[in-house]
Amino acid sequence: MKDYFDSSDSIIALSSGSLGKSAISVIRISGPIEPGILVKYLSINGPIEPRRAYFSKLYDESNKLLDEVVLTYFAAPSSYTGENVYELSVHGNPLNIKRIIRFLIDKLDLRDAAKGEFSYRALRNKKLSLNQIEGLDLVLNSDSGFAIDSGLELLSGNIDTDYDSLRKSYLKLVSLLEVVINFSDDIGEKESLDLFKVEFYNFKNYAHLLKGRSSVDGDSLIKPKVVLYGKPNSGKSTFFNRILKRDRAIVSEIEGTTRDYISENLYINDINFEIIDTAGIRETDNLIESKGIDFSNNLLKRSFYRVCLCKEVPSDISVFDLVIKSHSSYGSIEPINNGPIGPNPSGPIGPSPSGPIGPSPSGPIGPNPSGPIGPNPSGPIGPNPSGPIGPSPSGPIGPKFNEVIFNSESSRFIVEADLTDINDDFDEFIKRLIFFKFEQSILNSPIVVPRHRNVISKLNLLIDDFSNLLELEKDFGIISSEISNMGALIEELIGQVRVDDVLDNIFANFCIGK
Amino acid sequence: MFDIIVVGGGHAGIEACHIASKFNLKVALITLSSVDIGSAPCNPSIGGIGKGQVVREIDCLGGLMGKIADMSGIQYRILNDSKGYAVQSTRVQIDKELYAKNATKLLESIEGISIIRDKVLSISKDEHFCVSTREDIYKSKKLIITVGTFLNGKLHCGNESFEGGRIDAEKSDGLVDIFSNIKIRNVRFKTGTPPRIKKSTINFDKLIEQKSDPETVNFHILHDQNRIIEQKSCYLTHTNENTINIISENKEKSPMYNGQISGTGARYCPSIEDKVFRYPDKDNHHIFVEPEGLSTDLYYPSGISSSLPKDVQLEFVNTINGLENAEIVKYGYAVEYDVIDTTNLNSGLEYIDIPGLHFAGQVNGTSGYEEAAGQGLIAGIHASMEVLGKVAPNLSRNDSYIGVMIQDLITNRRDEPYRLFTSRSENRLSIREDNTHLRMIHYREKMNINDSFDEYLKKLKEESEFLSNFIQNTSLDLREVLDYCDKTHKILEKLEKRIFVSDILKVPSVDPVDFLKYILKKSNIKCSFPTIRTCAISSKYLGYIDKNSNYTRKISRVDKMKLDHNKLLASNNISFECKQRIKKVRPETFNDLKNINGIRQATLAFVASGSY
Ligand SMILES: Nc1nc2c(ncn2[C@@H]2O[C@H](COP(=O)(O)OP(=O)(O)OP(=O)(O)O)[C@@H](O)[C@H]2O)c(=O)[nH]1
Ligand SMILES: [Mg+2]
Repeated sequence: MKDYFDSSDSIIALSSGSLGKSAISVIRISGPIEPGILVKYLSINGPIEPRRAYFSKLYDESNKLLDEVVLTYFAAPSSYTGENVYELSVHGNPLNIKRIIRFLIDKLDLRDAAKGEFSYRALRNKKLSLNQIEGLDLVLNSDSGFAIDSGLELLSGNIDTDYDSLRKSYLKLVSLLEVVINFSDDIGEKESLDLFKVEFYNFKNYAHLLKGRSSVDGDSLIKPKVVLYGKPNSGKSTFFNRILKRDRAIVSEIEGTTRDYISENLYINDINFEIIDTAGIRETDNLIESKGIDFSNNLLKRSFYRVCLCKEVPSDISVFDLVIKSHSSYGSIEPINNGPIGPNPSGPIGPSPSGPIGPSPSGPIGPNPSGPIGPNPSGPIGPNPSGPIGPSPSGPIGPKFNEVIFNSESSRFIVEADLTDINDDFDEFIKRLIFFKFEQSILNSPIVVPRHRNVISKLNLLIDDFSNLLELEKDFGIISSEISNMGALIEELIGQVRVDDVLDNIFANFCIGK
Repeated sequence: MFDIIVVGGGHAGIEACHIASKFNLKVALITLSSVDIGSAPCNPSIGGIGKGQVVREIDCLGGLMGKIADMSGIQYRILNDSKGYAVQSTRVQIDKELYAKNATKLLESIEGISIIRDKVLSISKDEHFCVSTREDIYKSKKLIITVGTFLNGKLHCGNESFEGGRIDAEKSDGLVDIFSNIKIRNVRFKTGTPPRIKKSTINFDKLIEQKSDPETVNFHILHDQNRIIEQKSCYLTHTNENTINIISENKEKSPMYNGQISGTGARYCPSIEDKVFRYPDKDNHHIFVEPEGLSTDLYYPSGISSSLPKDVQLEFVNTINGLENAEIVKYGYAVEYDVIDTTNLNSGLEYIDIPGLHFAGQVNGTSGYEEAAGQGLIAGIHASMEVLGKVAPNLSRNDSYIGVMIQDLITNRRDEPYRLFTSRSENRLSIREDNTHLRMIHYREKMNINDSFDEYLKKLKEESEFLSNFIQNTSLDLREVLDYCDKTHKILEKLEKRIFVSDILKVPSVDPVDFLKYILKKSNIKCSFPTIRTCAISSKYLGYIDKNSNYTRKISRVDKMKLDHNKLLASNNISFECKQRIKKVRPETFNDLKNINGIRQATLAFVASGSY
């Protein structure tokens, strides 16, 4: 933590709504400052009691009205920071706020809070633990149920069992190293070395396990992006409007209608996805359109779920999670060739072609009267077999999607449908596919705290380097030094050390206070 | 009136009074007449993993242990020879009798030291310390107590038990009465020793011989590579099923397992009874059969320390390969003794509540001659410099094993005798035997003795600076390197046309010392061997040391975090078991807490985040 964090000062900062965005803003003050000093500038008679809201006028030293405010006072130690805390709700005009803060700093001898300093004080005054702050960060910075769950878990102080296994294995590894160095006379030279090597591979496995859990980008799970990608006129905006059940995007037969991307919240089973309609991909001389196309490609890279809309299925669909072949009769029909991205890095998550889960890849779904209906009835996850998905033979006849193909080569679904003439079941089916991938992704509890992901990745790099070194190097001084480096990372991971780094990082990114 | 009185003439006492004399102080060594000065009541060897480093540190600080060990050394060995320079340690078998003789002679030859053979009866303190013995009363400004296992010592051999610090010697019972204010640990410690075997009854043909290694560098830095006295071999044999059976059958006769002994022994130094009862699956335990001297008839079977009754000891010894007809000259025994609560000592091993009173050695709950000597030296330096009104240097755990030991002792209470392991140090790559003189020189400078030894160390340091420069800045023609490879059949990958000496020293398959010697010879540069060795090895490890300090820097900052253990005990977020341990050890820093056995991860995480 920065040394300039001096607790003897009282600090002030705008704590809600960034400048200029909201009608009412809250200014927060924390520190040893007594209520009597503040009252001098307020129209409140008598002492202020804690935990009560006062409506008051705020005057400057020459009795000129600055603003009408609501003041709430939290006395130490029963406050967020453990110090005296004052919350002033003021009118949200940026100039007004600046003027009030400047005035208070001046008259009350305050200073501007550094980034995250309120939380730092809370931590230092034993109001929060380190892990709790990390948890709180997750809770406060997200509006998805998943992130809140992960955050709450940290808040409750649970230590992940995989972390614990890793640490135990590390302890064992170090013990065996010490046996090799100090006691091989007793245990035997070769025996102790073999034990050490075996444990190293165990340890490596535990580290890899964690790496697997952190391979899904945490951010992409907190508010997962669903991107609609494809050539102009392929029906992206049409589909976007369908799934949102309102006319949000402009639909027209003119190529390049959507130029800037549009994003909207899409809730599936209470999980907040962000669905994004993008500009169609084509060669263009138009500067604005080409900028939009850049956005499309970037969004494709960063998204959790990638839907390709097309009239003709592209040859390589490995980058997408789902391909929707529309019946749009406008524009050219040759398939897009994918942009500069490789195959979808998260791999073929989604219904496994061989497993019992999800729609059976072999059975044609749709209006095949003899084939299995809809998704595989035995699969517990994935599109619900009993659900009203796809036109079942006995179901309502009428608008339909003509075909659902499971492309086993890329393990991707290709859905063909007339987007202008199909019932809601289609939308439900697509939502289920999206949710299915989400469920699969969180099934092995992904690690979402960026600090953890960062350390796990460093640890794995170190371990992989060391595996190579172990073949060559017979010097146990060097070996033990490398192992000790791993220990440093493990301590960092479990949160008992490197408090300084973590705090710097969290407070700089923390949304309360400043 | 003496400047310093040292009570106890063991390894700690020797170093304490010797170093005091180097400060030109007037010193008295009061020691029992029944015990030799510098006697080695247990194994006849000096050094070992971690301990070899300490002996060299003592040596480079101006202590005596390395010198006497060389003068009495009969078998040298480098432990961990094949595992890299950083983990290597030296061990020397000594002629016990010679060692004690040499120690006595050396001390007697020093003018400032008066050796008083007497038993201390009482000690009091007014302005000065006043030590009454049977014969006389002595006064001193400082007092250093190094009474080893003699504090309320009790010996056990089968169902026989005696009062005493070891066989043939009285215990120092008086001390316990005198220091009624001194906090003694409420656990007693225990140590043991194996039976001694008569040489003529050992069948050496059946044992595996281990000759003395001529390559091992002598302990004393001023000694050359030649050995001072004749060398002897050690021998290896093993226990077997029959040995184990006999011990198992006599479990109820073992003082340690029938309740007669309550003291805690060290897990790392188990008696043969411990080995048998704790690891029942293993029947093949190593036994090193070591000579106790050149002329003595005694052999020390290392690995079978025992306090079983005499007849059982003989019975199980005779089951061992090569020892079928062995006769026991002295039986094994265990000794229980009181130890000081070292958390009441400061970094000069001075008892905080009684200024001027120091404790060093086994009385502080350590095991081993080397640990004792290291403490004696530190107590001696501090007491002496205090007399002179100067501030003594504190050895840091970052550059010395002695520093590691002192810090561990004064910050932490232990449940078993303390022994140095290399793993106790966080910087194994940089705290090595070969670079001891460079690690100690700045402490030597602060001691301000300024004799010829300091000049010698300074010369070595300058030489090292020169050679390090040479290594970093000299590039070689590929041909020169290839010549070396031809000579030694080493294959180097990816050779550039010109290559720096420092790069070649890092190649895993190259022995850095050998290569640097070769290059220096070709370049016609003369350097002393300690310098060549140290520079070559340091250069090999340099990159790794930097990398490690990058990883651990922040951790060590957290480790230094001060803790208030009363607050820890009041916290609602720490489990009952953890609190029990915290109560016992009273950790002062986060590192202390971390080092307590059995502290839960959750507790550490909680405390580290400052939330307790
Ligand atoms: N009949 C039929 N018409 C479709 C289908 N999908 C899209 N259309 C029509 O095709 C035209 C283009 O559709 P949009 O949704 O605007 O296409 P887009 O992919 O958003 O195109 P850009 O925004 O230009 O990239 C509209 O007139 C749609 O009504 C379909 O499945 N069947
Ligand atoms: Mg569009």
